[in-house]
Amino acid sequence: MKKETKFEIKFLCIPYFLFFLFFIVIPIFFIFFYAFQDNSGHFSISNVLFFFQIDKIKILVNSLFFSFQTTIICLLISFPIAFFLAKQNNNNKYKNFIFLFIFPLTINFILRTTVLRDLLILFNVGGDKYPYFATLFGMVYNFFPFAILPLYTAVLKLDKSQIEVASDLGCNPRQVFFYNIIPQMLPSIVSATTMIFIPVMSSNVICDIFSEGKINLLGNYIYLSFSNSQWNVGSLLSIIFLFFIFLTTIFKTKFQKDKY
Amino acid sequence: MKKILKFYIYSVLFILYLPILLLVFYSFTNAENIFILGDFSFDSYQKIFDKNFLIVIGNTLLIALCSGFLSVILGVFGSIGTFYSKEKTKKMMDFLTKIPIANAEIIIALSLTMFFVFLNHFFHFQCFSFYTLLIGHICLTLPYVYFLIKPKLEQMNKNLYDAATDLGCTPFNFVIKIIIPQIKYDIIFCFLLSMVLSFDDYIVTVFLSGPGLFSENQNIKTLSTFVQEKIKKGPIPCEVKSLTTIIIAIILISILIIKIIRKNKKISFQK
Repeated sequence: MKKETKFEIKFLCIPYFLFFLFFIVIPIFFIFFYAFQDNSGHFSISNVLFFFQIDKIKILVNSLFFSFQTTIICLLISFPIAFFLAKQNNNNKYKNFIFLFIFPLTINFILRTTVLRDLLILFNVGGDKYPYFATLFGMVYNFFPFAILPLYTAVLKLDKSQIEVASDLGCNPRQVFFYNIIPQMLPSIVSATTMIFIPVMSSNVICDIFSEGKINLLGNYIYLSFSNSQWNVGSLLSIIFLFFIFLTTIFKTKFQKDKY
Repeated sequence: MKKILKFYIYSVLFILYLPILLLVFYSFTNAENIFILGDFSFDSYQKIFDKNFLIVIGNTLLIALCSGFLSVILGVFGSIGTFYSKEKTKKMMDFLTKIPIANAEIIIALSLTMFFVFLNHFFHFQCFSFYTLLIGHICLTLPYVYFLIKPKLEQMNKNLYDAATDLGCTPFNFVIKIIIPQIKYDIIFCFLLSMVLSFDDYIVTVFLSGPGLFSENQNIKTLSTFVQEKIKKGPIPCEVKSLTTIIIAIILISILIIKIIRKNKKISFQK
């Protein structure tokens, strides 16, 4: 007798798996495929040599530094907000305040960014005069709401008895903050950092709107090399970018050993 | 100290909302440029019915709806299927799902572009179309659906499956009649979230859009690409300002409705 294949619940994830295999995993291999080719389609490492020139490496270092700066500023801005809102959690007035910070994300980011650009130009600090400042401002404006949510939940989850013990044992508030609260929040700080660090490097649109082409991040450079139909160089840059993404992911998992 | 903090929070909120408030304010004037006071008028609301702009709105909405619908179906079933499979599969699926979240948007777009160009090279079908755009958007939204549904499944009673099958329920019926009704609000939330994400997207749309939909023979234009094209040459177009105002109004009204429904429910429970 022929055995009929029975439906099982776990079969439901097959289409999901296939979608990911075809449209996420396999395309990434294509980047590697194109990166080690020259324009005529033969295997070569000329792109690698092309990348390792001083001006190209300078772009990489610059965009890393820029991204780092943005992340630090975002964290500094959102830290007090997260603390205040988490402390006032029982207060009816501030209970839903956290949603006020998330609500603007539902509106198209290009629109918000453009109005902000016009505002900066009105106050004479626009991208034509101070491109670096304007771009930094725009990036921070766009990305700091992403830092608030993880920090907020981290403050809510803080172990209060530990803090009390620390202050009972004679720590002054500064020591309590640096030796107890910060280590407790470290996993969330790291996840907030990775949430900002990578998108800032890749966001060529915001950078273009603010700096008017005067500042080039890694994302801009990848975009430019693809629109100039230099696919192979662009692929190599993407691989370097992927390498940094890989590093941050490792960094993140190292700090989040205990999940949930 | 508390006063300083309060002042700080309100000022951050003010900066955060200033561009949006300006957009809303200037949608009611006939000024072309922001910061030039015009007269009060509804001109910009009439411009919404311009044919080109209606095409853009239609494209954006249709793509958002389709990608939201498909990613909810794929994501919810994928999440349920993964939850009831072996530990090894679970780990692999979690890893796979984390790839697009950690990955930069531009790299997803580029790799898909190269993939489709390669396919086109071998199988000779139309390279970029509505479907490629749809696939790109689903790639962006699908992981969020998966990770939002997963904790809800973990919260559910673990004996439910055994109880249901003992009483003669087939696995398919179990999914349709027992699991999905329990997570229906989360599914609606996922649908809305993926629509918002697809609304907001620019890079994937630029790379993967081809001719089709309401644009017919031209490349599909969505709201983001339309705005980006316009602001390179000049100020934000009026019709976009008024559309943004309408979208904000819709969101606020729906939040209010949800709140009222919840209040009524609470009262009826107390009875």
